[in-house]
Amino acid sequence: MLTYRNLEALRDRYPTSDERDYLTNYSESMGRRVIAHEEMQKIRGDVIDDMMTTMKRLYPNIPRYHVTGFEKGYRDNMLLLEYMIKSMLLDDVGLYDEHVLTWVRTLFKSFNFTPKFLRDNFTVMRDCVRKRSTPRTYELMAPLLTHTIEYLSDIPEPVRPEV
Amino acid sequence: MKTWLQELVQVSNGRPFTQEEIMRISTAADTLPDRLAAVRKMEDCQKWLIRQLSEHISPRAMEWGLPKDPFSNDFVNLLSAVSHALIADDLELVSTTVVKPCVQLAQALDLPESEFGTLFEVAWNTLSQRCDPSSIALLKDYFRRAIDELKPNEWSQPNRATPNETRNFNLLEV
Repeated sequence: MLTYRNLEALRDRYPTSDERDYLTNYSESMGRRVIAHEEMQKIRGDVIDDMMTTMKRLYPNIPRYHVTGFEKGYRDNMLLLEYMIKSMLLDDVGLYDEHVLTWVRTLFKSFNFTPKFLRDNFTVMRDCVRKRSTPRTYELMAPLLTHTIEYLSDIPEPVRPEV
Repeated sequence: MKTWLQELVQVSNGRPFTQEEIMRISTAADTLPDRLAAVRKMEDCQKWLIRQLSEHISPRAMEWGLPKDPFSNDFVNLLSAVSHALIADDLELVSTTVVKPCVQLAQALDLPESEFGTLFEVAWNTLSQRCDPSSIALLKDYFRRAIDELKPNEWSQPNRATPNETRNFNLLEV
């Protein structure tokens, strides 16, 4: 799929009218996305703080299975949110998938996280973004947050859940 | 052959973009419609441009023992590569996606690289007659880069065939 980051398809041909429309739209929406990017950078620490507070309440047993689980959770959630913010700025969900989402799912599976735990975690993240951000920023972030919920919770149930 | 944006995404791995990086991204997006318009102009002129290039090259191709119209298809691709670099707002891409294939083609055909520089000069002179000032301003640097790299110093390329040499050479055997 053509994105401004990945223009490889245009190396040996001119853009089609659909591709020109996509690129024009990318240009026209950049101002809005820069504002949303700035807002998300300001609130992302608070968003992760909020979500970790909720997750500690919902899953108090995590430290029994993963000694530094919440500390690592803070770091991993921050990384994922950072990539979502970048992907939103560049209007490029592929960036997020390629750079982080694919390998993170493998990592989470290896921790014996359940699909429900991951769905809860990222649903809480989405709720926290919605509470902290303006509606216009949330509108731009929501597709990535929803994509994350669906993608990361799409794992088999572990034989021995550790959540 | 990464664009500046792909490089930027890679080097900023795990950290937020800096203000300077955001400015670069934002500026490239703001100027994109003008660059798309210039590319559209190139596309509109392409058939005519290729015809002009063919007329220029045909007499010399005969001298070199090449078919009458040896580079038309190559030039369609090369012009697309120029437009790709322009859309990406990445002058450095010209070196890898335009100049490098020209150098390889020149080597395969045993022609001086500067011949391709001359073809780009012809292309630019022809194209700039049909473009609006805004498109000319945007396209100029990209053609200039290709010409400068292919013709840095024509006299410094030793032992290459000159256009006056007639050779027994069949393009299809390359």
